[in-house]
Amino acid sequence: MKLSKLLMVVVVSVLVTTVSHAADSASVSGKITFDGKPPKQKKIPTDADPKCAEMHADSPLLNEEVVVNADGTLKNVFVYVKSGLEGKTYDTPKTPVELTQTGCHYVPHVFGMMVKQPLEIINSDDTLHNIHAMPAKSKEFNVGQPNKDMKTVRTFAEPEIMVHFKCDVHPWMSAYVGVMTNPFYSVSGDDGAFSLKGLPAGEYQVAAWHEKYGEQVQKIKVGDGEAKTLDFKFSKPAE
Amino acid sequence: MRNQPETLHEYNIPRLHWWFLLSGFVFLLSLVLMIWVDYSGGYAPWLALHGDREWKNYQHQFYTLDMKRLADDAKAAEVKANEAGLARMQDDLEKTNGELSGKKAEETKLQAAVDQARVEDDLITRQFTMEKAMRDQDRSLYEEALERDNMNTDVPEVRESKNKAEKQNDFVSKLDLLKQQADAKLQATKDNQTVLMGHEVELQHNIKRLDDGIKLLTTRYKQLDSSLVQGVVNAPVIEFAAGTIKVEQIIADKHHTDVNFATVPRVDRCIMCHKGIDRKDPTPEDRDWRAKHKIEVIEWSRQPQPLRNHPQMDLFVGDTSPHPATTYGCTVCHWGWDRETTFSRSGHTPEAEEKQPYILDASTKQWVKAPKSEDDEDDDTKAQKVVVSKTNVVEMTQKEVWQKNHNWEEEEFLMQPMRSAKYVQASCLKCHNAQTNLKGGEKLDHGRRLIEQLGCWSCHKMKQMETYTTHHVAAGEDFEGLCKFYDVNADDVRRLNGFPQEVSLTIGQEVNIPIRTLRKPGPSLYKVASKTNKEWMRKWLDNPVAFRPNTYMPRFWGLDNNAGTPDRNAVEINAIAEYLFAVSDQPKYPVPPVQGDAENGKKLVGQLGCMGCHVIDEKLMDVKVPASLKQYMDDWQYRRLRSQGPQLAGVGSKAGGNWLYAWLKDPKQYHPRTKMPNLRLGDQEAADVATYLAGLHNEKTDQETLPEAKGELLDKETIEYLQVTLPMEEARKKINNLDDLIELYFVDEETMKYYQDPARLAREETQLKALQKEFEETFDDAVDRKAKKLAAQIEQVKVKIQAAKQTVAGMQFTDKKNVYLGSKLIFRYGCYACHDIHGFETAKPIGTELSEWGSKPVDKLDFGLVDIEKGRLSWLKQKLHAPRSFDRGRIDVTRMPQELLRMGKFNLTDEQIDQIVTVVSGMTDEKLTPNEARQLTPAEFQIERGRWTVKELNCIGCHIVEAQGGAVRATGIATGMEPPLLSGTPTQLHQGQRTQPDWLFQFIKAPQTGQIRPWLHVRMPTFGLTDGEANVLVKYFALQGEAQFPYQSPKIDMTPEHLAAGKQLFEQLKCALCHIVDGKALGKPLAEIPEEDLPRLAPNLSQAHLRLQRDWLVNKWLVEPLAQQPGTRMPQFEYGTAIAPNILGGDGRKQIEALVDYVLTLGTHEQVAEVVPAPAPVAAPTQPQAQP
Repeated sequence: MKLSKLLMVVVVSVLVTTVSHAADSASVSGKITFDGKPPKQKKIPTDADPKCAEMHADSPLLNEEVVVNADGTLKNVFVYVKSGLEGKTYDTPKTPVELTQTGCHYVPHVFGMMVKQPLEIINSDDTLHNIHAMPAKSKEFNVGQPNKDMKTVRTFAEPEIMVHFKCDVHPWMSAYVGVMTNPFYSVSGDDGAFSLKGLPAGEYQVAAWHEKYGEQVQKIKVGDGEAKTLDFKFSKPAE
Repeated sequence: MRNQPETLHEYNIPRLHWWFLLSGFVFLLSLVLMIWVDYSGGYAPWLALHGDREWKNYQHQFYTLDMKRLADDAKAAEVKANEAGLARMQDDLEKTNGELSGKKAEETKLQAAVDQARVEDDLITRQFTMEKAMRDQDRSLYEEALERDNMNTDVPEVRESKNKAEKQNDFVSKLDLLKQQADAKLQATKDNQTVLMGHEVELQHNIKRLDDGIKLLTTRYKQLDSSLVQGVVNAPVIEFAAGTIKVEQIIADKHHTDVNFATVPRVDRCIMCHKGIDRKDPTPEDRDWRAKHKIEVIEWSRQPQPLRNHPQMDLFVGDTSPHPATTYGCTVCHWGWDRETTFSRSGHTPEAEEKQPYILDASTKQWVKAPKSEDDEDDDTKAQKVVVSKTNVVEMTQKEVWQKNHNWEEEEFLMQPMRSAKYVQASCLKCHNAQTNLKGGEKLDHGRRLIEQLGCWSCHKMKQMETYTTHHVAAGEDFEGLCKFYDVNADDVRRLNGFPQEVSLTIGQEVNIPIRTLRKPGPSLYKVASKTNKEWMRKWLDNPVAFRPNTYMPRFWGLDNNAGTPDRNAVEINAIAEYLFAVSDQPKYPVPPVQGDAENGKKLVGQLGCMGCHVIDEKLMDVKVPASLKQYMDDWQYRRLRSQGPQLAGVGSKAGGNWLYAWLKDPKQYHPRTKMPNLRLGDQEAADVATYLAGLHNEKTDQETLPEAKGELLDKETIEYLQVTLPMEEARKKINNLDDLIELYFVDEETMKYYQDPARLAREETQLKALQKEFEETFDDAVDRKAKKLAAQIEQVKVKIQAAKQTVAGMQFTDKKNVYLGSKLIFRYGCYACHDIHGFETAKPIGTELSEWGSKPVDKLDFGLVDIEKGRLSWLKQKLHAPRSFDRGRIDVTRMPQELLRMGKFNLTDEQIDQIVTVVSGMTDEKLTPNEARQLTPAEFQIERGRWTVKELNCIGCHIVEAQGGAVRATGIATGMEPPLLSGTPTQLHQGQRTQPDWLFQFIKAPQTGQIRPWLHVRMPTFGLTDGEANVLVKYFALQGEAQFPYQSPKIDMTPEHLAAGKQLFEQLKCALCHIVDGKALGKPLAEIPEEDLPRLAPNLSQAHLRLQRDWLVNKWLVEPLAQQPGTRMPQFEYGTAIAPNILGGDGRKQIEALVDYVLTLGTHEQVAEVVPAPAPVAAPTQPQAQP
C-alpha cells in the first residue's frame, strides 16, 4: 500500500529541465507532506525549573516531536543523500553550526552538520543547561553550561544518522543532528520544503528521516545541471 | 722364502679375498645409502622415503622465506635510512669535513683564541685574588686604627687608612668586573669550538648507526643467500658441525614430564618445524609504509603451517610475554611427545570434524586449504567462494588431509596426545586453577562456571574446583592468626585441610586457604511439600526441560537406557515423589494479609530488578525440542538468564500464592542457603508480585497426564531392590513388612545415627547401667550428671523412634512400598548431592572422581556399542550429549536395570559441552613442583574471593563489574533509573576508588540505610551477608580498583575563604537543581516532587562526606564524569576562567578542590552557614560553626 503510493509519487514527479551544464549543479528538491489528521502538539510543564516556568508564563512550551504546518506539510524532517556519493570526499566547512538553548528548548530542533565541523552550543538562558549528546559512533559528551551566553564548541568524528541531544536538567529538551560526510542535506521548515543543491550527476538514494515516523528512502537519477523534484509523504503508523 | 707346510683350510683364500672385496663394496654402498637416506629423508620425495625428515623440508622452506624477509628488511632499512637523510647527512659530513680542513687556520685560530682567553682569565683571576687579599688587609688595618683611637674618625691615621682601604676596594671591584668579562670570553670561545666539533661528531654518529643496520642485514642476507655457503654447511655428514638445517630443541627444565616412570625435564623439538613461531607480524603502520614503497612484507600469521607464528604472542612464546618459549617450551601447554621429530608420532591431533575444501599444491605435492575469495576474509559465515576450478577441490576433514600429507595415524599409546586448539585452554588449569578471569582462558572460565552451576562437582569430586591458595607457615604464626590474616572462616580452613578442632602448626607446613566454598546447587527439598504438589513434582521429574527449558536439573528418565520402559519409569518417578513428600516438613503458609494485584505485580517485577537474575519468557515454553533453542541458548543473554534464578514463566503451575508470598518476604526462612536475596518488599508489594507469579501457568504442564504407576510393577521393582540384600523368597515375604526398613527416614539426623549403628542404643543402655551402678557406689555427682544426661538422650531417641514407628505404621501399604523404593532410587540417582533431602544427610555422592580424568587411559573408557572415534574427548562429548548412550543395544541382554548407567542428561548446547570438555580434560594427574604452580599473591587471593562472591550474588545481573554484565543497568539508563557501573575497563570507574570502604560495607550489609537515590524503582537487595563476606567484597573492590586500603580520611581545606568559594561555585553551577541537599531538591522536600520529575534528580550530597572519596572526586569525577560512568547525567563543566573567572583567580584546579571540599562539608557540622551572594568577585569569608 505504502509502497505503491511511493511508486506513484516517483512516477508522477515532474521533470524540470535546466540548461545549465556546469558540473555538480544538479539539484533535488521537494516537499514533505503529512497524511491524515495532524496530531496536536502537547504543552510541556516547565515547573521543574522556576527559571523556565518564568520564561513560559505566557506562551507555553510545546512538544516538538511532531510539528505539522498549517498547509499540511511536516516540519523537522531531515532529508539527505544516503548513498550514491561513495568515494567522493568533501571539505569540512570551517564555519560552525549553531545550536542554541533558549527558553529551555533547543533551536533548531533538527539540523545537519558535517563530520568534524564545529558545533557551537550556546546557552541563552539564565539557568543551567547541560548538553548531553549520545552518539553511538562518536564520543559521548555531556557539558554543563551554568552561565548565560556561554558557548561550547564540539565536533563529531564519525557520521551518524541521527545523534540525539538531551538536557538532563530539563528532561523535555531534545534535539537531533544528522552527522554527514557530504554537504547534501536539508531540513524541512515551516513550508515542509527541502532542497539538495549542487549535486553531481548520478543516481542516488535520498532518505527522509523523522524522529517519530522513521525513515523513507527513494531512488533518483539526476543528470548534469538537472533539477528534479522528489516528494515524501509521512503518515501515522497504524496502531 | 721358506716353504711353509700347506695348512689345511676349509676355505679358499683367494675366493675369500673376493668375498672380502664384495662385502666391502656392499658395506660401503650401504654406508653411503645410510648417509644419503639420513640426509635426504625429508626432501627427496622421489626416493619414496617420505616423512621421517619432514622437518628438513620445513626448515628449508623457512630459510627461503626468511631470506626473502631479510632482503625485504634490508631494502626497507635502506629506504628508511635514506628517508632519515643518510645521503644528506653523508653530504653534510663531507662538507663539514671539507670546511674544517679548508679552514684549518680557523680551527687553529679558534684554539688559539681559547688558549689566549684562558691565559688572560688566569692572569686576571690571579691578580684579583691577590688584590682582594690586600683589600681585606687594608680593612683590618683601618679597623685596628679606629679602635686604637677610640673610634675617632677624625684622627689622620685613621682617615688615611680608611682612604687606602676604600681605594683598594674600588680597585678590587674593577678587577672583579674584568675577571667576569674574561670568564665569559673564555666560555664563548669554548662554545664556538664545541659547536663546530660537536656537529661533526653528531653527524658521524648518525651515519654509523644507519650504516650498521644495513650492514648487519646485508651480511646475514648474503650468508643465507650464498648457495655455496649453504651447500657446504649443510652437506651430508659435515652438516653436524655448523649446518643451518639441524635438530633444535628447547629444554624447559622447570617443567617436567614422565618418561618410563622417571621425571625428566621437557625437551621440546617442536621448533624444528615451527620455526616461525616467534616471528612478529608487521605493525599496521609498517605494512602501510611498505605498501607505499612497494616493498613486500612477510606476514607470519598467514603462512601455511608449520611456519605460522603463534596467534597469541602477547601471552605466549614472546620474550616479554608471561610464558616465554625459552622457559616454558611448547608441550607444557600443547602436550604431545616432546622429543619426537615426526609429525604423526609427536601426537598431532586433528581439529575440526567438518569438511573443508582442499586443493593439491603442485610444487610441494601437499594438500592445502583452497583459497577463498578476498571479500570472504571478514565474514567466515559466508559460503566459501573457491577461486580455483571446482574440479580440483576435494572436501576433506583435517584428519583426512593429514593422512594424505603426513601419513598421519593416531598414536594410541601416547598418554598426552597434543591438545587440539579447540581444547588447548584445558592446560591452563593445572597451574591457574585458583584464578578466574584468565586472559586467553575464556572457554575455561565459562566451563568452570558452568560446572559450578550445573553442580557436576557435587556428584563427581573435582579437586580442581576446590580452589585455594597455599600458605607456608612461618615462625610465630598460629592458626587463629592465619585465619584472621586471610580473613577466612576457620571451619572452612579446617575442612579443606582435614584439620581437627585444635590445630597446631609447624614451621614450613603447607596450609591451604580456601578461596571459595561451593554449596549444593539445587534447592532444598526439606520443606518441598509446602511449596508444590506431588502432581507437578512427577511431571517435573519426568522431564524437567519440558517445564523449564533452561533448567540445570538433568533428566533421568526417557533416556537411551530407559525410554523403552515407560511403565517402569512412572513407578520410579512416583516412588521418588512419594518419598520426598512423605519425609518433607510441612510448614503452613497462610493467606497473605492483603489482597494482591497481579497487574501491579507484573510492573514491580519489571521495575525492582528481578530480571537481573530471572527471566519470564513465554518463548522458552513453546519450544518442543531443546535443539531448536540453539540460537537462543548460544547467546550471552541466555547464559546470563540461566546463570542465577530459574525462569519464572509457568511458576504458578509449581508453587501457590501463599508460598510465593512467604518466599518473597523472606527467602531464607524456606531455604537458609538460597541465593535469592531479600528485596525488602512491603506486604502489598509482596502480595502483588506473588499474585502475578502465581497466575503464570504452564498450560502444557497443567494439562499433561503421566502414565499411572502400576501396582504390580511397584511390587516387582520393590522386590528387585530387596533382593540386593535378601534371598528371593525372603524378599517376596519382606515386601509385606517394610516398616523397619523405612522408619529411619522419619527421624532426624541425630537419631538416624542409631539406625546406621544399630548396636549403639544397646551399648548406651549398658553404659547407663554401669554409670548408675557407679553412682550407687560412689555417690559422685559428676557421674550422676553424666548418667542423667545419657538417660535423657536415650529417652529422647526412643521417643523419636517410637514416633517414627507410629508414622510408618499409620501409612498405607502402597505408600510404604513407595517410600522404600523411593529411598533406594534417590540413593541410586544421587539426588541428595544437589538437594537437601531428609534421610540422606550423610550419604556419599555417587559420581566417579574426575580430578585426574584428563589423564585417564582411553582403554579404561567403556564405549559400549556406540560408533564414535575412540578418544578421550569424543567419549566425554558423547557422555555429555547422551549420558546413557553407552548402554545402547545391551539393555535386557546383559544388564539388570540396577546395573544401567545413571548419569542424568543435562540440557546443554554444543558450545557448553565444549566448555565443560575443556575443563574436565584439563583435570590431569600432572604433578607440579612448587616452582611450576602459580602462587597467588595476597592481593590476588582477595580479588579471587571477591570475584567468587560477585558471581555467587550475581552482582553483574544489575551492575557492570570488571566490564561485564549490567543487563538491568542497560534497561534503566535511558530513564535515569539505572544501577551504577561498579568497575569497568581500566580507564573507567572503580568502585574502590569512588566510595569509602566503611560506607560500602554498611551499604552492602543494609542497603536501605545508605540510599542516595531513594526514588529508584530498582532495589539493591539485602543479601544477608556476614561481616566477613561483606568485607570480602569491600576488599575486592579496593584491591581490584587499586585504591588505597585501608582508607584514610582526606585532608579537607577548611579555610573559610576556600569553602566560601566552593559554595559560590556550588550555587553558580546550580548543583542543587538536580542534587538533593538536606533532603530537599529545588527547595522542595523530596516527597512533594512529582513522580515524573524524580528520575532527573541526582544523589543526595548531604551524604557525600560519608560516602565518597575526595581523591576520586577531585581527580576523576569532576574532571570527566563520562569517562567514569558512561551515559551519566552529570555534566562536565569547564572549570577555570570559562565559567567563573572571578572565583579563585579562575584557577580550574583550585575551583574543583573548593567545590569538592564544600560538598564534603554538607551535612556535617562544618557546613558553611551563610549564603554568599553569587556575583561578589571575592567571597566574604564566613566563619564555620564551632565544633561541639
